[in-house]
Amino acid sequence: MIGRIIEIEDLSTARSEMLAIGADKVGVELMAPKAVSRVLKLKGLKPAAANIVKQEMLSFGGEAATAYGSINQSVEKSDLLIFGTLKQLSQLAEKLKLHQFGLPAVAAELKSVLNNYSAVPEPIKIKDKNLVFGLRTYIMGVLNVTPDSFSDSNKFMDIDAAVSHAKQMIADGADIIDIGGESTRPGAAQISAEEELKRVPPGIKRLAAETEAPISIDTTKARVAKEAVAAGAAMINDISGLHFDPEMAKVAAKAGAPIVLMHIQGQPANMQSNPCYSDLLGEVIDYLNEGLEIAKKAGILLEQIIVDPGIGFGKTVEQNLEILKRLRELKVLGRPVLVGVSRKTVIGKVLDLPVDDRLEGTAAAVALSIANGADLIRVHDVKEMSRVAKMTDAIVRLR
Amino acid sequence: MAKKKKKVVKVTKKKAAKAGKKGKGKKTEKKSGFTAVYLGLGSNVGDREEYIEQAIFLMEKNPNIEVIKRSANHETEPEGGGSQPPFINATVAIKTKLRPHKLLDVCQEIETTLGREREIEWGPRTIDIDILLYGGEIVSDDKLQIPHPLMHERLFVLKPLKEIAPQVIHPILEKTIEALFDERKAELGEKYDDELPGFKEIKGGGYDDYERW
Repeated sequence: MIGRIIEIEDLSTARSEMLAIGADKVGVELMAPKAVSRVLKLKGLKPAAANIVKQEMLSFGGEAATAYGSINQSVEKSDLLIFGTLKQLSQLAEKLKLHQFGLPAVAAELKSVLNNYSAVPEPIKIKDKNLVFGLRTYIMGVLNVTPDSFSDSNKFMDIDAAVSHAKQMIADGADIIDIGGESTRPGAAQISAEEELKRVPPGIKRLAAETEAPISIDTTKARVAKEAVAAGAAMINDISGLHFDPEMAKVAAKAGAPIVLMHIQGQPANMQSNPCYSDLLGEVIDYLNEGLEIAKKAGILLEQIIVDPGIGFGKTVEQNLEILKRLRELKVLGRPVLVGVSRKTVIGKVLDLPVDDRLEGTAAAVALSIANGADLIRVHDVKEMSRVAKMTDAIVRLR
Repeated sequence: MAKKKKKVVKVTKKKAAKAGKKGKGKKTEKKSGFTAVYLGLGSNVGDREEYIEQAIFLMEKNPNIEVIKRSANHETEPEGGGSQPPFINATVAIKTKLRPHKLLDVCQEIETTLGREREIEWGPRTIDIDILLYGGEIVSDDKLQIPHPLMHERLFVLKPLKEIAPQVIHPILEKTIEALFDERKAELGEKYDDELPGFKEIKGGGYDDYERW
């Protein structure tokens, strides 16, 4: 007899493994939540609350780690790591509802975190395209109409060339064309809305007339987004995650279009000067969550929002790699995840290769992103990355 | 999830009375202890095969539905010809706790989720989902008829259904799907040609692919 380890990350795998050894069907339902374990991180609890959570979790056979000073209340606040099976965690949530010290709110947070993490987001409709998340990875093809973008410098400034490049990307498997007029390359100077307006809407108009694929407008400026939507863009991609232009959320709400919120630390002009985090994933998630709140207040439907951790936007090489490795943690937001890693500096630094020689590096990062939960990828090399995505999907999404 | 299930049970009990008489026991296909329900899918606009895949995926995602088998995709000229583009048709076998009317609601919800907004009746269909057979049950009211009243005349239903359920018996006509298919094919005589659109099996989906269940 040889024992072995089975990887079980979700309830359906737990169920099918149990059924495979002939477990009773009713029993399987009861046992499945005991087969899946999670570690939850909660921030800034009062010591009394933290101590109660620890005590309750211990009583259910789980565990919770607090800051050392929590025990004698010598710290003002403590973060908390809770370890347990889904069964124990849901028991904990039920129990915390009965306590004081703000613990009913903790119970609600616990439940929403666990639900979001394992839920597959509902489909999003862009123009006539359905993005049915979980079924496959969707491809966003990058179309820059800017003289200084880091990857396609000058190549697609001419509108005919841009349109024909977009058509080629669609033929190669792009589901969405992401068109941008402002370079967000590290150190890039900001351009005026006027300049952007000169470049982008005419391109969108042509493209919308000549192709069926939905067009996304990559901009941080509300005015540009508004004109782009009027010209036929069906989606907004805001690299500031609604943090730069206060009018952006209103424009998106009025357009009723799906929107991508990205994390960025700093501004493109200075973002790479000294990126600094005390809790990288936590801060990225908090920033995106703030964007979701801004969106909600402006009347954007939560169901229309996609999130993007912003690889290369105010992050060191190591920080970018850590986000790619721990990408799944973004699932806690309950929204589809877009990853844009194509040809980026992190790949150049790891492989020591220039921007026109990063295809394999991009492929590796794309494949891993999908394995770690990406629902959409934003890429330049659509033909190649569609294949990478399709192959990765076949493995990761096997059902 | 547990909460959701409870709600469903309640609804189905209420609907069960309405759902029509059960067929005789022998007509209810019992395969490893469940009643098989067969659905027909069709799409004739945009990326038709993708819409079919999306519809099947959304069924799998529903906690009350388990997709157990699917046919290959078949390309079909729309009935009456005209200017409509050809359809892609497929059938799936599912296992479900949902009673027929509740299942109809789920199918219509998926149609709405995937459908285009400017839908006109009898116009091009993004995705169309019909309940063809619900075990051996017969349902007939103004909302729902099971078996689907036209299924025995439609090769675009019978052919993909024959693939996954040849021996299943039509509870009113009391014939197997295979027999109904052969009959309809014979009626069409020389007009039937495997290579013609309408009868042609096309790539994508695929019975074998789904045999992993």
